[in-house]
Amino acid sequence: MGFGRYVVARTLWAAAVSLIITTITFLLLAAAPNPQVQEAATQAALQGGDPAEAAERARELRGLDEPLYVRYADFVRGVYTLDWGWAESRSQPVTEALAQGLYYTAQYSVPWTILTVLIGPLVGVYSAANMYSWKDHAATGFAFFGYAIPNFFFGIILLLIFGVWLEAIPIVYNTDVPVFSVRNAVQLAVPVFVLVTGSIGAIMRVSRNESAEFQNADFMKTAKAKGVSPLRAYAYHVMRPTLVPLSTTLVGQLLALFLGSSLLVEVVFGIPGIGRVTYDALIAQDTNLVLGSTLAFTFVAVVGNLLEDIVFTVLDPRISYDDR
Amino acid sequence: MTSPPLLEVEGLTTTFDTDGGTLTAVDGVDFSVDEGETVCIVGESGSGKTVATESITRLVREPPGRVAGTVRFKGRDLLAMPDDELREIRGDEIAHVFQNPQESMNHCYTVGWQIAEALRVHRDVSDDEARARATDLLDRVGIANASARFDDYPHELSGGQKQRAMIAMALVGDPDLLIADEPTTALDVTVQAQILKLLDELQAEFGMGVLFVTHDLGVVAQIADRIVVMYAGKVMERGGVLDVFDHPAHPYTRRLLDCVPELGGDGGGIPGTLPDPRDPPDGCRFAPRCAHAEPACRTDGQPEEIDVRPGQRVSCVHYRDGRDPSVLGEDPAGAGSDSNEVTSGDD
Repeated sequence: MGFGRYVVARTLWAAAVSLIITTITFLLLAAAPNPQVQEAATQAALQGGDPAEAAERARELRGLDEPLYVRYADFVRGVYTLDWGWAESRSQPVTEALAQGLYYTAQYSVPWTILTVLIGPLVGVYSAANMYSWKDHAATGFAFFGYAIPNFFFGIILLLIFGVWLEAIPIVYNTDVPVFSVRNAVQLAVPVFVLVTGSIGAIMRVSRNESAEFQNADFMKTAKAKGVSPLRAYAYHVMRPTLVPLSTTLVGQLLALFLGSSLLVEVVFGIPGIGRVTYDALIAQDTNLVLGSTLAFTFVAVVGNLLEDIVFTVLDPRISYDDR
Repeated sequence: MTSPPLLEVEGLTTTFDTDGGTLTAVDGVDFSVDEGETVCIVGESGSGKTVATESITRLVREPPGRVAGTVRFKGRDLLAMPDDELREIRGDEIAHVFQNPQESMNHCYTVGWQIAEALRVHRDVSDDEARARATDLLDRVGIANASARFDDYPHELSGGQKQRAMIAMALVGDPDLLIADEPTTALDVTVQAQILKLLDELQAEFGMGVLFVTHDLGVVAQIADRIVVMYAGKVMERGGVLDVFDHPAHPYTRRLLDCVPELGGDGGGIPGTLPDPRDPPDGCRFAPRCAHAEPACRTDGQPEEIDVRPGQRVSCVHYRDGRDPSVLGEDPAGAGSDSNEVTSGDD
């Protein structure tokens, strides 16, 4: 099987996974009692009406009296046509609420992802090249520190130091600032720094250990014998094979952080991003919005894994596309 | 007066700092290679052959390694020159072919790219020129359909093809000296013969000096002009290949030849093991395993080299003035007659 067919097959599989996730979500939702129907019944009972009739009416109103397969078809169509329903708590469509959150999330997520992807492997390979020297130990110490300290806790400490004591950064995120401005960069610097330290540790460690293996490989001796300079040898002959195992760690790490820590960091720094939107929806028990953000995160993960698999095969020519 | 040799190695000493002390892999070795000549370094595994050849262009990792002595190549001392100057010579004037073609290429790049890289780091060539030259060499080393194989990855080639590609990579800069470190050891026998034949042809075509490392004396007989016998980091004997094969002087050389059935030996091994390179024996390094060792063999370092024939020199006390080398047995001509007398060494 050629590369093109592999990509198509893998993409179809990702689509199938997303459908499975959607189906499971639907089944859970169908099995759970609908709070709005219960509310209608309670209201009716309080006002002396017939709770059963009121519940029936509420169900009809929301199409819940339809057979399961019709509701399933509607649900799936809704998910894939981005008709994700109405967010009660925010009085706007779910997709719009998510898009607004994404606008702020992207402002700090894009910088920290780029920084992590650029700096992590470089420092890791540098660490391996200077293994067991003070430079390596310093990088390792930094990696473990970032890896070990919880992001939200580190964020609070930095906010205390730079926001409260030094008054160098605003304590509460200001949404009125233009996206591309010094003030926005200043107020996002600390959350970006926190997320980079959190994500870079694992990537540095994996790059260091993988490249340690490759820098002692026979092909490095071949490269040296060819007259290749050390810098070129590391850039081409160590970095490239290191990226293969690293690509799996990288995507996993970035996704975990994007889906998990972002929320905590947004809450700490008061950024009205997608994590914050989800958090508020949970508090307000806004089912549609919670569902929407969950699905959004899940689809990001599915797409991330798809990219990871494709990148992996591009990076390592030995991986065969057969039997997949 | 003949012209100076292409490569002249004097007092080459390579040590490695290990946790268990300093290990001396190569201990004051001298040898030379003339233009267009093939010199074979032979010896059993662990005798320091590979380290010696990798010390010539300082491929040895430093630290923990340390290379001392002088290596004159076309009159310049490679060990005294700065790294970037030496880098100009590596892969351009002096090329290497290594033992294990499976591991010697980077699995992430195409074969052609890796061959072209050797050219690109030395010359300012366009992509097309580099590709043309690499394809040409792939074809020359006997890879069929070279222009298509250029884009193959190493794992798509067989072991023999990989070694051919490695040879192409070595030749891309048109080197004056090719250092081939057991290039056929990892290959099966039929392929070995092909690669040797190829190297022989290429040497004539490119007019290179070749320094060939092997523990396979059958190979030596086929290709060498001169041979250097190494044991435990020291040279035991050297000379023209026919002289050494027909009249081996050093007891170690005789034992080594005894090991090769094709050369009339009995195929038996040499009892005992190599000495500890952290603490080599005083006197002749081979004395602990030598059936003819006597007190003089065990003191005063490795014996000086003594001429036994024009161009053939041996490091053995039995050839000193006033001594009778016939105690070592009559010139055995590789017959292996007295192998039964060999006692096991000091262990």
